[in-house]
Amino acid sequence: MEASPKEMTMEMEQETRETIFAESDGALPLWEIASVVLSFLIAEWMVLPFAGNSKLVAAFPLSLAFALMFFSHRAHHETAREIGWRLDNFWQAARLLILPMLAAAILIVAIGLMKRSLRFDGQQMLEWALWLPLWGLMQQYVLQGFVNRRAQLVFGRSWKSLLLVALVFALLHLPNPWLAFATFLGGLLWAYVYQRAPNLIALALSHALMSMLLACSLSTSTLNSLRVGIKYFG
Amino acid sequence: MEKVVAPRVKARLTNFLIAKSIIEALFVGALAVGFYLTAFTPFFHGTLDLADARHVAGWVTNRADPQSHVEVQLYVDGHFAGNRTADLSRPDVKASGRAVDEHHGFVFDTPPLPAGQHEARVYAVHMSGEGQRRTLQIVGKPLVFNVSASEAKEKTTSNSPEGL
Repeated sequence: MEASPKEMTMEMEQETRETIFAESDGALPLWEIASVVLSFLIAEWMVLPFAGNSKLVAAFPLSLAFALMFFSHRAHHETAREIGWRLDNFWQAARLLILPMLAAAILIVAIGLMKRSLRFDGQQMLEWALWLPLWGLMQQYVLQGFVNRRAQLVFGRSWKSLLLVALVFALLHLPNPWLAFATFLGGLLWAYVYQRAPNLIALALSHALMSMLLACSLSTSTLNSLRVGIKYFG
Repeated sequence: MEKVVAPRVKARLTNFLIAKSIIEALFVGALAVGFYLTAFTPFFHGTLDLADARHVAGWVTNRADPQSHVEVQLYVDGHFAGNRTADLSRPDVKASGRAVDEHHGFVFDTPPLPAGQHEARVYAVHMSGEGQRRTLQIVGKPLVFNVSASEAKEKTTSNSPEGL
């Protein structure tokens, strides 16, 4: 039985759509990255001036970003283990992290000593030790578990994907110049390590340790209390 | 690392991205409109009735809170010249049905001005953002008025400390 003209048109439309998707394989992951980054930028830059300190309003674009990431993982058949929610390669990732972290730590402490801004407040550090690893885990999941993986779909395991991840990380820390610079360098390191040993827990601990060291070594005014987005100005 | 993603799944992902973009555009639009309505409330209503060398007067109400008394600021030639609460009696405003009570009038003493043409503007002050923002909205239309040489001299003399 011959297909009706309407059915033929629909089939042709379907073929055209499939051809478009096949030809634009790089565009979709880049769009996914841009979409997630945009949600975070909306939360950082739009919610505070327009809706005050409402965490509920800020949660809306972030929820959309997480929904997209979840949906995308399912579409790409990615397992939690592949994304980096695992422990078996923890030491492999830790080994890759230890030397650059040590070098960065020495540099940060040296700057703190030179600028006489080094300070250790036990109570404050205890508070940071409780929430910074979780905060780091969330950021590393978005940055590596999603952005890095999508960047690799486009550029493979190359300097281009590392650069894209680092730039995204720095962009989300603007307009704080020192933090943007530090996160660019940190982003490069963590993206490099993730591409060789995808382990989010090791990266989250590294993230927490480096953030704590940065906050203890550089003055509050230099880092502007680690404020980013529109909060930086107030 | 890449696994084969069926075109239909890609299509769904694309649709999801489009839907997310639309929702975010609406969200940002709603934030902007909400901010505009909060910061620049459209509920102030009033007029600037008189401006001369002696007084600047008018009335203003807040339809969102009809019994409240609006804070107003006077600017002459773009310079701040005083502020007060619009709570003076204006029976005509109540009689015309523009306010629930008559206490929504304001009168400013015009500051000493040189002879010539001047412009008076009165703004209603609106607080928002838990007191973090203050916005000014013009009451009625600006009024242009003239100060004669004799009025200018009289005003300067009356404002000078005695003995000078």
